[in-house]
Amino acid sequence: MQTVFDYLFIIALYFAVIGLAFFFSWGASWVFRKLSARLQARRGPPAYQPIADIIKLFGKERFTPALSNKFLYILSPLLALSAILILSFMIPPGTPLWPGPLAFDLIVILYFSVMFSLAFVIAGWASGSTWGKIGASREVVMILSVELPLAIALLIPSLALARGGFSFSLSITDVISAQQGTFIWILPNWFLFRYPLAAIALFLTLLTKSWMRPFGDIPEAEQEIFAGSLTEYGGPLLGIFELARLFRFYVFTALFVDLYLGGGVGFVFPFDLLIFLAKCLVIVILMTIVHVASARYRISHVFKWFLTVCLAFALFSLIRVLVGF
Amino acid sequence: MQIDKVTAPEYVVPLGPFHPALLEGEYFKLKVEGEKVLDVDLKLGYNYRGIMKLAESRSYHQNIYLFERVCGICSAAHTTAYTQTAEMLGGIELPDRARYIRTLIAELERIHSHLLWAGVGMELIGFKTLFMLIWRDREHVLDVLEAISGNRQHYAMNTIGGVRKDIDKDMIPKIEEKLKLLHKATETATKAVLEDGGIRARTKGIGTLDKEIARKICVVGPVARATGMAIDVRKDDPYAAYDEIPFDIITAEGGDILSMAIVRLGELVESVKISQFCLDKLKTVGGPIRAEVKEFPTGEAVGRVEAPRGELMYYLVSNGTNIPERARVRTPSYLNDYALLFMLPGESLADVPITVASVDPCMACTDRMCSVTDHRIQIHKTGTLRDLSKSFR
Repeated sequence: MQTVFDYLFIIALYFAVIGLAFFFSWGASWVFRKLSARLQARRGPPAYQPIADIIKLFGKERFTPALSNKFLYILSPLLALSAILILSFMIPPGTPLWPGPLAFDLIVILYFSVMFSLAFVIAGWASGSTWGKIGASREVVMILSVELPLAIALLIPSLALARGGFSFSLSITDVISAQQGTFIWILPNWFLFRYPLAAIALFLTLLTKSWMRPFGDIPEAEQEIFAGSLTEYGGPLLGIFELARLFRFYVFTALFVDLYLGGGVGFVFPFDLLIFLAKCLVIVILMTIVHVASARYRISHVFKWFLTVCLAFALFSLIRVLVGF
Repeated sequence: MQIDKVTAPEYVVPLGPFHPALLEGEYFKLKVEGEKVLDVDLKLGYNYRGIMKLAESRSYHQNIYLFERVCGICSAAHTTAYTQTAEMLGGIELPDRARYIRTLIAELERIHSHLLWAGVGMELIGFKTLFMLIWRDREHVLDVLEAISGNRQHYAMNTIGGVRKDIDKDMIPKIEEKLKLLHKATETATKAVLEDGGIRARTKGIGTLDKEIARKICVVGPVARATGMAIDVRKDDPYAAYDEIPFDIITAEGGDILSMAIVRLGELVESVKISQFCLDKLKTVGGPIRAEVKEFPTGEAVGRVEAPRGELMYYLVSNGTNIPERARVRTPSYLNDYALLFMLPGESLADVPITVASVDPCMACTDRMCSVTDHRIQIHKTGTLRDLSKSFR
């Protein structure tokens, strides 16, 4: 029998997770900026910089370009922010005790991750700028190439549950608890070790979805098309977009850690949470190193890479799961 | 069932006059279909400063400072060309030591210019890290130039009849140390450009300039050498001390952006060698650094040097006074920029910035003269130089 207090507790928990996501993203964003600066022989910004940038934008004048579709121009940042906020409390912070909102998390996560990218497409088209349109068309190509390997790589752990003696489930909490124990020798029973190629495919797609080079920053390549979709944005609307983009540091790393690195499994609260955040930070650092050490490819390369190499990795793992070897 | 062929709509994309990829004002009118560039139109003339007209009202010595400021990156090339032309007019022989110092400064400037180009190129293909590292290493050569001349950019070393400052004996080992660091940095940059898959994917076969077209539109400098033409004023028409310095002309076949990068990076190594040769000579060769300057008799002279971007030509007309009657500057970018009209069509929009940068355009040099009629800017074609200068008097 659930009382009203149980519901209130769950709502409070969601807010707590969004707060956690925000503060982790802030810190991870700073680590990303500072580390890439140090690797590039620069000094890098102070710790408050990621949030100071956003606060500054909210203090500026709001305007809509004359050629824009006003409704969609204002709607798309809100769409992006709501999509990423929903994502950030859909993904459990590492602990199997997290009362997952739905029994089919992964499908909803896939849906909202596409919606998040689509918000940028809408923004580009609605802003009425040539550069925005080019950015939007590049974003569409990104969605078309990235989402298929992403979907397969996301679903592999949940399909693999049935292989490991669990019942099939699309809930991330079930996936986390299935990763308890050891796999071979001292290797933990993470899906990273069981399906390494799928893990690589997921890492590449999440890297790209977080605007990291070599592929991720093509839709907003500043030397080519200014800011792509966001060229005409400024003031609070750009602030909302930047806030939404800040959450990528939590959402996309947490997804990888939960599905393939076992979340915080094997520890009791609050240590599982800390272990989970530490793993997320490691992924952020890895992503930063890849980002710093690579040049930007062309959009045609994205299509080629993700629909051949990355998709092949994901499909191979899928066949392994289905056939069982 | 018949499916109609779907074609992307055509847009006109305005690249410039102000764009993150362009360091100076220039305007590319790109007609694109989707991401593919169909047609290009180029407009220059946003940086017109009237320098050549200004030169006609200043004395020969004042003009050194004026021409130093034609371009911020190749300031020494401009003064070398100018003083050399003035020396031809006045029949002045350069002392040996001055020739070596002039060559040294010219080569150090080439190193700094090519490293700057490499850094900008890396930034334009999104490789920010290599951009930062190359520019960090570029500081070495700027340090050397600052130690020699007191300035990082406008060195003010050349004067008519020689150079203004001597290089101390105890400064030479420090410069040699920095040259070693530069050599190492060059090797690292070359290795990165040749081996990194991302850089190759973005530069190989992109923005290809056909050799025949290159010859037809008279491209000069590294752009010409990247298409396989072994032209270099330093070898073809030696000035300063280049006639006695052994060095190779670096050429590459292909004419794409990778070839241009290979040519420039190869020239870095050669420049370090030439600088080392000059330093060795400076240890032994003594004597004055400046010849006496007498008057400039009536006449005209053409001097040319190999600036970092290619052949730079100066033309001076003297009427016997201390003020030149006519000064004309023809910069390398003036020729190389038009190669872009042949390089850009057919490329993807993503490759436009790096293709534009691959010819190393220097707008401040190039925008020599323009006239404004009915708010439309037209670039004049030069007819006979003397007639033209008379018509503006």
